[in-house]
Amino acid sequence: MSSPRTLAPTLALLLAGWVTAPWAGAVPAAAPTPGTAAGSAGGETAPAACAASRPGVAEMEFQGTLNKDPDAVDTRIRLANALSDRGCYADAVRLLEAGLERDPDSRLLKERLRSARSTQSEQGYFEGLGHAEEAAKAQRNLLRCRDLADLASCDQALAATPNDRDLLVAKGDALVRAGRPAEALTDYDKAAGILPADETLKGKTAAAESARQTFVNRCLGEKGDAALAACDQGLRHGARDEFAIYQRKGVLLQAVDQSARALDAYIAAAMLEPGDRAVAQAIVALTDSSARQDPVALTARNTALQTLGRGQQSIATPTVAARAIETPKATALKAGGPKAAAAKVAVAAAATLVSYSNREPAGESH
Amino acid sequence: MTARVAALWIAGLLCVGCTTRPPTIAHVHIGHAITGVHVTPHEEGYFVVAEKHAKTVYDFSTEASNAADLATMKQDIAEAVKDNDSEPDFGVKHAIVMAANHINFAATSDDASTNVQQSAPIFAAHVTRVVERCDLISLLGNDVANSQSMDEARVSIQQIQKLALANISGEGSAAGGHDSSVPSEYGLVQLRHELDAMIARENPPYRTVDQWYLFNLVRLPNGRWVFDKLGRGGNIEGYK
Repeated sequence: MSSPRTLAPTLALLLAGWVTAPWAGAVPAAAPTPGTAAGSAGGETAPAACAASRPGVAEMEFQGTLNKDPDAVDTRIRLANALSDRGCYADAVRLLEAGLERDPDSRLLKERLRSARSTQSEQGYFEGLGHAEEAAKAQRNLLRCRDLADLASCDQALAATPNDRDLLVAKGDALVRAGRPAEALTDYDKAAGILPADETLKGKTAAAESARQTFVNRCLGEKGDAALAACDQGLRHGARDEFAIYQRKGVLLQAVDQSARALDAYIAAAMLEPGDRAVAQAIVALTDSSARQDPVALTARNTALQTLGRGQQSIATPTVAARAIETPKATALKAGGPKAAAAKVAVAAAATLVSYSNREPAGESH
Repeated sequence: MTARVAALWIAGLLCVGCTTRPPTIAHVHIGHAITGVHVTPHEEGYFVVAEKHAKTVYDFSTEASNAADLATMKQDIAEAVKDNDSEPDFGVKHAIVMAANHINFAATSDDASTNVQQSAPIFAAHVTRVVERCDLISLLGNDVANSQSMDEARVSIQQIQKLALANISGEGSAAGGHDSSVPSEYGLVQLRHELDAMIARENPPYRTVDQWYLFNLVRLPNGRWVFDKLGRGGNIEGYK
């Protein structure tokens, strides 16, 4: 429109002083220095880059020269440029400020300091943009966790901020909505641990516990798959009914001929109440009838035998130990590399279990 | 006599024209944010583009919230997301980031006033809240696209609508009407006020930059900003 190439129409406007002539003289811009905002790299270097990097030879030379002659403006500016190159914008600003204190009239230092301060603030701007992205992700996850009971979003959000009380409560709510009140109670407890429970959280906890009790009652009082599912939904580690639920689960699994899983349930129950004879009898019966020969099962069997006062039958412990250890040991010998290492760990674990099974149960005398 | 007076008058005006200085480089950068730049679809300033697209995002999200079926919801939100974050079309996010970049360019120009130097980082910091909302709109838009039901989509759409309104007039208006006087609640209205205030403080005063300067500021390989008087083009980096 008012390009020099369309001079004639522009002249009339110029006469009125409405537009300015582009050829009247461009305002020169300062040549960019490394890391300045005018440069494309401006602000892209995070402060971490400064912390992670080390001064180069040139930078150390500049520093040495400046130490000898603190009034050398040129060296000071070069050192500031080197610091900017490494992303050490704050250091560059401090260096230039110190220089300006020595020489308050230095135009070069003033210009470079302005540029350095600008770069420093721009760095904050880029960091802000990065934080914006993370904050948006967190808000999205919170929204989906809270409003849609999306447990994957809850977990993603908690992975970033594990001690966020609101998130823990939101996940608890999502678990209640998903029919998993026992797990919800764990998150409510964590939330209460961060900040003492208010009335709302107390109400949620009571409601979740009530929902859990419904599952527990169904687990203990009903039969079949529905009862089994209820046992899982009502099971809460550390709860007073944990033993009863494991034991009931064992019974229910035995009833549907799932011996291996039943044995697991009984073993879990036995770990909670080692002296329970009914559980011990079930473990012995199931290890006899099933093909479970793994160290955990065999160790549990020995413990159960001792509980039943049939410790003499657990004299076979050395055999058990040999069996428990030899299998992974053989694997370790045959395997190479990571497999061998894993097998060695298994050998150590088996040995520990065997030594545990050899201990005399409390109160039993020979 | 009359002819001599007329000649003197014309000569006087010519002198005014000849001695009028071009805008400062800093003001041209500001002009790219608020007046015009040749890379945007209608050669409007980045901030102006952001304002227009922010309104479109809100309009589409409102249509989506009134939609009667999931397919229409998804279609409307896809349009909203495009206006929100498209780079080629200078969606809200890209446009506002470019506006902030150019205000930063202004602050780093050799001829920037202290006012611009001090105001630019503050403006840039306040822009990030709008960017954050844009990022969230994009994520929620993706959730809408993957929604299996209208109920699921509606949760994200309602949020998108709130965010879109907040991006226009601040979180106060989106939350029910209070002023968004806190920077963390700023929308484009508040950012516009901030820019206007910065410009009003300029001394010598800021004048709307002529289009020739807006479209012919180039950056030389040595990093200097100059006006491309001979139309040779150049490495204009952020301007393309």
